[in-house]
Amino acid sequence: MSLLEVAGIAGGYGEADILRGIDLRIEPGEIVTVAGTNGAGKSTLIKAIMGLVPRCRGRVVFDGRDLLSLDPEDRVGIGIGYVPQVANVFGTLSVLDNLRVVEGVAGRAARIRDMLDRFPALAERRHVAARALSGGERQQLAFARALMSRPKLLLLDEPTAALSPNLVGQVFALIATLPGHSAAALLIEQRARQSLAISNRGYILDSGRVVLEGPAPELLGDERMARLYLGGG
Amino acid sequence: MSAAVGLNLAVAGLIQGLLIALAGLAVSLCFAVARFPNAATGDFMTFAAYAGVAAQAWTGSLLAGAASAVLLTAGLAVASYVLVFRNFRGRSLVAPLIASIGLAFLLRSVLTFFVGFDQHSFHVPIARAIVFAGARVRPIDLWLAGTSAVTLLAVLAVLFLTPIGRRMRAVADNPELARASGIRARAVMLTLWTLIGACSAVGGVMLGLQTVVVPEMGWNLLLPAFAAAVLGGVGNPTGAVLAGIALGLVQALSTPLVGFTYQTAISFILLIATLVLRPQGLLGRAEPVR
Repeated sequence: MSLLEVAGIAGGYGEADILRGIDLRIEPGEIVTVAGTNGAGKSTLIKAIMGLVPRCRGRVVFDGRDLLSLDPEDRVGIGIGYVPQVANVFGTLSVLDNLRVVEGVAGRAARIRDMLDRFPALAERRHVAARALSGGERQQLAFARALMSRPKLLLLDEPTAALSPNLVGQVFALIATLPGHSAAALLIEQRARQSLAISNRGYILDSGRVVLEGPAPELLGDERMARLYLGGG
Repeated sequence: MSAAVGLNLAVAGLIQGLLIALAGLAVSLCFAVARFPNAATGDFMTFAAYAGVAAQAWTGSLLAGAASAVLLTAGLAVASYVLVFRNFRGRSLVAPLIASIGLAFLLRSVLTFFVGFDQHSFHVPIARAIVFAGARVRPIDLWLAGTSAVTLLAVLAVLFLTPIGRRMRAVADNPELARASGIRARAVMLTLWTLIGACSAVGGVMLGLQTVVVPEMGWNLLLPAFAAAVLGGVGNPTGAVLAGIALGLVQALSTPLVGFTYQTAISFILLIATLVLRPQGLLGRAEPVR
């Protein structure tokens, strides 16, 4: 059984649908990239899986449970972590409070120690307000916050957006370690080539529909698709 | 203005400032977490004052009257959330703001229906004022200042030193990320409205102890409360407390210049000046548009 099965998901924020019937699956421990043009519905897809899109229909099953009947806060409890593209930390809270605030964490103190060991830059700045962190530190904190609840699936919305080139490599390296920590990842990325390079499989979206899917090496090797959808990345 | 007069005005201003700070804190908490300016804050205070007077008359104890006022007003605030404001979750601030104005008028109408327009007052034991360095301070004023300060510190302690306060600050910072971090809105909002009710109640009882209890008393304090919330940085509870105290002092110390009648105009002028010159408030910070 797949960890996540999305079947015919459609919906959006206003009257018009942004998602127009998307099918997608993720196996345990897999990294899956979703790429596509601007406005294809990539971020809306990830938000719909997290429960943050007001109007959503179709079928989303995670670990055998129907997700669409759950509030976003309940989805965290069953093993889904989310790193938004922007505003991905609580800027007015300290680094430590960003980690403390996550609900449903067993052994919270030990888990915070784990996170600070894993992200030493955060340990040094644990009492600093998150808004004072650099872009790279913020992204590390966003990951640490999302990993606090030991998610089986991490939803990552353009985690390398607005980062300097050397930090981009660090973030991809970090994502590549997730399967080693028993977490699958659904990765939305503009830098689709780099993203597919660390992924097992990929989906290409266009106008709210999946236009291509397959193993990551095959997508990277498809010259026409690479030219149209994967960019120079 | 002699030093003694100045000192007397400063003491009166400090007490008035603590009162404004309580109301400003209630407004600021609501704006920070529930994301709308609650125009019913003043009428929560009025309700508390009447509840306190009634409970004192029934029990014969000022302390029991004040405690009853806090419990009843916290209950009223929670009920207003459950019955009214909860329905506006995710909407723009206009709808709950208008609803809060409607709730304010409703509360006042219900109060006047039952108690009329007559003045009521708490029974306060008569005691000689304490004279210190030329300033005359009534013992009740010391109690009022102490109770207000303890209430303000207690609310800020809940906000900054407890897990539920941390969750409230997270919701205030980024509601969507808070949900995606597993924070349940229900517990946060019930705590928020309990704190709003408690702050309003202590402020209402204070106001009633200082003067008399009339249906318009809380409404008249709404402008200084909003001014404190804006001056301190909208959605910054600590800023609202400090701005409220400063506003009380400025209002009192300006009395020789503008007279008692126009004290409130000072709040209005400061409110407009802040909105025009420094919209993020004196203690707030400009945030980039995301």
